[in-house]
Amino acid sequence: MSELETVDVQGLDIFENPCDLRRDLHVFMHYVQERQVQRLYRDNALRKADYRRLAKLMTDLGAKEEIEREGYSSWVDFVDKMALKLGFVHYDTKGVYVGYSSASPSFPDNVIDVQTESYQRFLQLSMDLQEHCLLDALIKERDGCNSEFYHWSILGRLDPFSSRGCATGIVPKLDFVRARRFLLGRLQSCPAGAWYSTASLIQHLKREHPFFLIPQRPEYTYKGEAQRVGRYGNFYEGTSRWGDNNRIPDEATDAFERVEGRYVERFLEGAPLVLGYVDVAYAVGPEQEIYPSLGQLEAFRVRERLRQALNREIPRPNVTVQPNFEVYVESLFYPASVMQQLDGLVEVVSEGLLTVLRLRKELVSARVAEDETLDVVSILARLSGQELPPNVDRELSEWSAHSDKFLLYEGLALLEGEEEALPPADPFTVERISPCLRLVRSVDALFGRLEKAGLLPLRVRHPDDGWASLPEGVRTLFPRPEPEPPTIEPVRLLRQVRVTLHVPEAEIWERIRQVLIEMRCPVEARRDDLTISFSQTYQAQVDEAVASLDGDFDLCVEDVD
Amino acid sequence: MSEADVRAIRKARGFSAEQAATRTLLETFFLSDIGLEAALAVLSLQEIALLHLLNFHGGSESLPIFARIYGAEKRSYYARTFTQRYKETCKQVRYALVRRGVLLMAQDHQDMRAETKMERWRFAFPREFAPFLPSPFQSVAKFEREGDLQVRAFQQMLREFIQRGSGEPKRGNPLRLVKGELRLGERAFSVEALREWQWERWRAKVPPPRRPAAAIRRGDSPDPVTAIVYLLSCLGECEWVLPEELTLPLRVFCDAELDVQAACVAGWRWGCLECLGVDGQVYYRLPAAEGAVVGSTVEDFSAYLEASPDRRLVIDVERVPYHVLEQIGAISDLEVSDNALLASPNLVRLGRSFESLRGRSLLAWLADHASPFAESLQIAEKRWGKLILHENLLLARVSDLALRVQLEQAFPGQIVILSDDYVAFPCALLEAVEKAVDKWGYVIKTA
Repeated sequence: MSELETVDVQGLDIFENPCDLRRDLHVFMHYVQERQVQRLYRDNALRKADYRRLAKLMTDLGAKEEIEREGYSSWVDFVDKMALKLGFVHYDTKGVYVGYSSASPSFPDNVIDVQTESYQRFLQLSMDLQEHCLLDALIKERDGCNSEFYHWSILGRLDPFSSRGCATGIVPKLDFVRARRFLLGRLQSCPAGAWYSTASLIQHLKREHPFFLIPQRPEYTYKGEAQRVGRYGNFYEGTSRWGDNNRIPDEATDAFERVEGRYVERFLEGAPLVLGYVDVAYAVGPEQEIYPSLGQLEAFRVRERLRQALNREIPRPNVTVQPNFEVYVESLFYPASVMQQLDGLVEVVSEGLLTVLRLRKELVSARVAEDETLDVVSILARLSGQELPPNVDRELSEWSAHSDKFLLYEGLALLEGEEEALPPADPFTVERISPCLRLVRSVDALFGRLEKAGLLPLRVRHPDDGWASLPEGVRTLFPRPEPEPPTIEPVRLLRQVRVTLHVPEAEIWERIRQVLIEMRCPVEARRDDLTISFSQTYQAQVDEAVASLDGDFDLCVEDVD
Repeated sequence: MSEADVRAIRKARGFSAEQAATRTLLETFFLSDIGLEAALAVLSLQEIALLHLLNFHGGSESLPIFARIYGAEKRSYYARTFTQRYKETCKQVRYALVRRGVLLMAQDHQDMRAETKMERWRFAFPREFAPFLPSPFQSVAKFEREGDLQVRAFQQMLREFIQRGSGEPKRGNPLRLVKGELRLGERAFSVEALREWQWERWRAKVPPPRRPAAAIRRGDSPDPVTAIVYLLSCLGECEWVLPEELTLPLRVFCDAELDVQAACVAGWRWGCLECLGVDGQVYYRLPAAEGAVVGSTVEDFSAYLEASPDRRLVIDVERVPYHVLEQIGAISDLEVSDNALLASPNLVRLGRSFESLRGRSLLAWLADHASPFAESLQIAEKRWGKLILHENLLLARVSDLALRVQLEQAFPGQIVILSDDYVAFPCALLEAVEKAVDKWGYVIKTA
């Protein structure tokens, strides 16, 4: 489209989408696969704890703050809905009306159910087809009330039209999918990298394709609307968001700009921006004078990936395995399939157009231990399309073998005997580990068989935390627990000496008590038996208190015992 | 407790001034034996019986139980409050028992059902005082003789069982043979099973009296048989008692009048009590020994065991001690033939019981006198203990020598090396082993 004007975006507010939908979708899937995620009962949203964890893992840097402020993250919600739309997960979206007078549905026990097969099928598609599925999911929204006219884009700033009457008039009959595909095709023909004026695109469409969205003779939802509502009867604009707004008259000379033009702006903020096909630039200026805004999105820039996606020319990720066990994955689009195949074998060092991963021995061993058939060398060779560095090849083989070093048998018992040949035990033997030792299963049945054969077997059930005591005369490899000698541990007794003064008269008792209180000395003074008790530590203070009354009383202290 | 209570306790128990100088000191000495015998000696027989009941129950009791001896307000019973019913009872308990220093008294504030102070009172007989409790009987007799322990009931059943042979069991006779095993009801025959069965029979003959309504119930009562056993356990060596002596204590224990004579006779009939007739009177006590058969000594196996010509062991059911019968049953297949109980060795049963019976004189006698048993015992000696099935443990193959050594060093005595590559360790050690293996850079694979 050579007639589009290029624009100098200096002075404009440029917005390049930082969020990677492809990556975050797979992060979300990884998250819900690893744990059971239950949605909230009342509004079917994710729980705050899940929001927080997902926000940490996803690419929307403002998500954390939004969660703390609003209690949810719109980007996480968007990814969640995409996963549902693509069929990767399933959960109830309709709910049940629990009470007789319930005004809204509830969602009891609504757990996100991972549709593993569907997800695996997606991962096995080529990058082109994966991208095609994503794009389809975004543009195949047929409901006019959910279209760009009436909805905020997830990343956008432009306000929509009032949805008043969106289910009437021409809107329900418009083919938004066709219109979106048409516009994508127009964008595809724009050379990548240059900033173009949105107004020039709108003018081009007005001249060359005035009916790209609303047909020349549009269909109306109800009879008589053609006269009553008119072509642009669904669209209201005004000078305030909530005030009295007026229909855009069909006969206005700039009606196309005011309706279809607004659509184009909001379309650019929609799927193309979310998928990173375009960047946009907004006017920086005075307050909004018209609602919804018009002409705010002044410029757009097409990226190379739009052409690659629509022409299905997305290059395969370039995987290189380095001798230092790092794996470089170069890809313009998030390499979901590659990451999924390497999941659990590598740690992520950095992500971006060039993702750097590192093979870890313990991860590889653990994965091979879980799945004996896993051939890590083949996987890496296939992904990289070439042989691995010799040292990596060798080490990986060793790491895989490492998983066999410790093999734990579950649910088996040990038969210990003196005879090598033991026919009754043969059907129950899993492994013979020495001439006289066997790993066996089905203990009850085996024991019965051995008894019947007159072999007088001894059945020993060891306690969970040690070895059972075996009777005298039994020959065994197992240790005989010896009774532990009693240990006498030193115990410290703390001795505290308390002194009690018995005072013969209440008046003297009261005086002594007052003095001690003033001295802040901790004593127990009992009025009923005129005693004052204290720890011997405070003897000096008490003596001082008694001595202070020398002028009034002739006191002496006598020891009772 | 009020000061008056404290003073009374001090006086009744004879505590010195130093010992009762403070409440704390009094508490310290209260549970000692100072003055306890003298304090208990002045109690009435009813009061002693009640203290025995409190000792039997253990724990603490509320006021209604004391109404068994002190009574309660009976007029318009249901129209009276708890406090009105038991105010006088409480007074009596306080004066007669608490102030004598033989009973503890406290308020239970945890009982949410108790609404008044009277309902919250709890009384406990300290277990430290139990050895000093006087006998619950007015008088006991001392005879250094063996009594008559009735074994006829069970012997009668054994006899009938032998005579019946493989016919239908007679109603009321719980003995039967199931796959060579002698069963008493559903259980394998044993002295323990026999004892329990006897007690069950006795209990069936002496049913507990009907329980009164909860509102007027005066505490919980044991069943008559349990009460009789407890009371008779208070007798000393060579002491016997007439049934009438049990009347008063049983009235206190069971809070009802019982036919004590009939109860004792039933106990004797079912082999649970020993009786002795002296001068036209019959005395009772608990049996001195279990399952002894009069006229036969335990060691004299030949008196009731004989090897028959067809190599089976013939058991004289009239004379065999029950514990010997139990032991034979544990290692044999029993059968009844020609009015005789016969035993053949069963290797499986022998294997199961070998450990517990090894070294017993019965096995030695069988080895000498009954060749089938001798052969089986030889086999058992040869085979027992040679084949062991270990369960509830974890087994692993550790193919790395360094890892094996590390495990042995980290868990000494707990890792058993079974062979070059295999180890065993207790189940509870798994978590620690997993941690250690992970720390050393290895991975546990599960098979």
